Amino acid sequence: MIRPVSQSISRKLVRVVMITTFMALLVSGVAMLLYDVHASRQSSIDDLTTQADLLGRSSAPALQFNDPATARGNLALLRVRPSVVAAALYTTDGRLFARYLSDPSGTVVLPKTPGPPGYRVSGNRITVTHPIFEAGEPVGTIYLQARYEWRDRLENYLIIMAVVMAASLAVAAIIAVRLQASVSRPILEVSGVAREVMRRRDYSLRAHKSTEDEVGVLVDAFNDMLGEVERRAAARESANRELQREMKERRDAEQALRLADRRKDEFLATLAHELRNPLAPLSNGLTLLRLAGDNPAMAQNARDIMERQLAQMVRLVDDLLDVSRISSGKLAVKKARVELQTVMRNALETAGPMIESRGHRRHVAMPELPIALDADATRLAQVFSNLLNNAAKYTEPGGRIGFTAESAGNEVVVTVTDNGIGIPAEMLERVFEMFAQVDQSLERSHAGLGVGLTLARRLVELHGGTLEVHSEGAGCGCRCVVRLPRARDLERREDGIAPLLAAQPGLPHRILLADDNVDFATTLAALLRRLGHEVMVTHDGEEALREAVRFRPDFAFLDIGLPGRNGYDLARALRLLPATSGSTLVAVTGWGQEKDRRLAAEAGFDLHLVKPVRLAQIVEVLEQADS
Amino acid sequence: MKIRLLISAWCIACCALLVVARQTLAADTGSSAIEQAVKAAYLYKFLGYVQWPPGAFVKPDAPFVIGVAGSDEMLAAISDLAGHHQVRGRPITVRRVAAGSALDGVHLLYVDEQGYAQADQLLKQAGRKPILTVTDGGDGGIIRFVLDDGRVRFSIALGLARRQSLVLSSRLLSVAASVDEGAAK
Repeated sequence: MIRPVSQSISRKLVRVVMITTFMALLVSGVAMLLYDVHASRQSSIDDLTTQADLLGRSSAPALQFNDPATARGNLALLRVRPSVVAAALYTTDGRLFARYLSDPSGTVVLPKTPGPPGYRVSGNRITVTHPIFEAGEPVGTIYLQARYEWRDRLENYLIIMAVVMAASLAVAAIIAVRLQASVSRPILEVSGVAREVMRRRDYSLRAHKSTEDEVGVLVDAFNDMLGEVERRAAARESANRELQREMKERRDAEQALRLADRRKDEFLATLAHELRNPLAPLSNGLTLLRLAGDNPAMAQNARDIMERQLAQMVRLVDDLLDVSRISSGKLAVKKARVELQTVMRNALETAGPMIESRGHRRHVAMPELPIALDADATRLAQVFSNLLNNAAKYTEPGGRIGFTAESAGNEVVVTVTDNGIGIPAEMLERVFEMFAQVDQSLERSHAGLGVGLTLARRLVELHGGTLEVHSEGAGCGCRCVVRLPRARDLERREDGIAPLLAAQPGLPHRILLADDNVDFATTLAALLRRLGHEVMVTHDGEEALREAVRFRPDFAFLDIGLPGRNGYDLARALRLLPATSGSTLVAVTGWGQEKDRRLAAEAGFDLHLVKPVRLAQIVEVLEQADS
Repeated sequence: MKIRLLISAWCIACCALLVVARQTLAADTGSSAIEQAVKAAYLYKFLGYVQWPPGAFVKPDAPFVIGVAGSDEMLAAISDLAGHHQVRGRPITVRRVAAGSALDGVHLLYVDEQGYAQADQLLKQAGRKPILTVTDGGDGGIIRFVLDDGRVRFSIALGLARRQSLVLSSRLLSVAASVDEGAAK
């Protein structure tokens, strides 16, 4: 709160000047007055004494020769001096000799005898008694009485003094008002700025320095202080802003964490649910197999059920692995020249059972000319089959599933449509969030982990394309649009990865498999042998080393977690042996982190595959060696 | 010196008192003794208003010499005052003079014209010297006593004074009963 200035400094300055002037005038006036009163009194006395002396001298003969008439004539000369009201001459024996009264009818009383010589002032009268000498002898005494008009004089003097004082004060006031500006203006400016600063809280204001005196120093100091305050205020403000920003970030992060935590909880619940779902049919299938005995139809039925459930579980676990890769940013695509139609057919093969099991009609349309893409065939097929599975899943049985592709300029647009339950508008964007599901209840009818679309979009983006989901709303079906860039030229087309087992067998290789998962190793070995390769299977590190020396494999697929001697040690040992130093060593591991790849490379591995390893990956490795 | 002054002042005061008393008395009685006393006092007072030429005194403190040609009473009255009197720091001596006697050293000559037969001769004798002549009852002197309504007053013949190289103070003239330029007869 700023208090108003009750007494301006300029007014104070003027007042100081006025009071000083007034006091100086008063003191000097009173001094002069006193001096004048005294001087005038003295001069009156001197004047009167001189007159007495003169009159006495001229009247001495009259006294000496007893001539009162002459004496009276002498005294009568006093008429020219109206201030003298009475005069008298006395003889030496104190007798009244002659007298004079300016106003004979007045009340002036002459003394009977002369008093002692000298003067006397009483009231407004001065009396002088003066002895008269003639030739050194006293001849008589003269007495004079005069008006002493000190009151009139004092009155006049006071009037003059008052007039002079008033005029002086007026002049002093004018001068002070003019001169005080030079002192007060800089101060007023500073105080004005200070007032503005307080009112507007604006520390960027500065006072103008107009003098080099103490006020100038004050202005400098004031401006410096303002600068300091301004700097501090700015620093504090920026710190506040920073703090607010950090708090917002922290709140956002906390929110995000809480959301992620909730999603993870939901996901875990969903995951447990989804993983548990196939177990019951599997268990039932086993029971059926045991009961089937010689009933081949029943056994076949049980196997079908079990295969389907197993496939579901594998898909779930695959999704989980992909989720992990997305989370850690390790999701990668290996691009090669592929044909769109092939990828679409693969996807249809994968998703076909699901579509058929739900009794949907499907409408497939592809361009007749092959369309080349630079893409990871497996991943792209995964995207399409995922979309198809979703369409089949979220459409009531007997629905209609569309799967079309068309070329549009440099792009190819693949569309998956359905006439299913659709997606509410508010969920359209959220469907791409990890673990997001439209139906949050655990009792929902449609299984899934809520990662499918997230994964699909991420994969499409890795291919340089876009994935959009459109829906007119709940119950209106859904349309998923994938746009992918086309390969630049068709001529440089390379062989895609052909369907593995149906493809022409490549060159036969000697292959060493080392895995403690006996079933995996055995089945994989059987498949590879069917492709014409010579395969050696071992189940621990020591055995693998022994067999390798003897078998001299072209390829060695080594599990890292081998009993006896782990994969890294085994690789280092094989690299040192002359028989196997030239072999292609492939690490097969459940850990796909960058760290694991680096460890494998350091141990001497040429390649690194992450479990579960599919036959296709192994065939690809072998074919690359061929070419 | 101071004491002397005081004493003389006191004496003058006494005399004046006496004179006034007698004069007042004389108005009724017409006593010539009082008149003579007043005249004697006047003689002394005249000394203060007259300037003699420089050669009139042999020394700075030489006494005033008053010559008297009159009655014995008058001589006594004048002599009474001389003993206690000084004028301008000079003592005063009084001596009787007569016609034919040397007037050297006399400054003031009192001549009673009525009472002295050879007054004319004496005044003629003094007329050639710087002598202030005061006459009573005649008109031959520079200063002549007159009676005005019973009061002793005097007239002044300024021409005579000038001729005898005497300067009379104007203040003396102011109280004179009459002043004339009158030349001597």
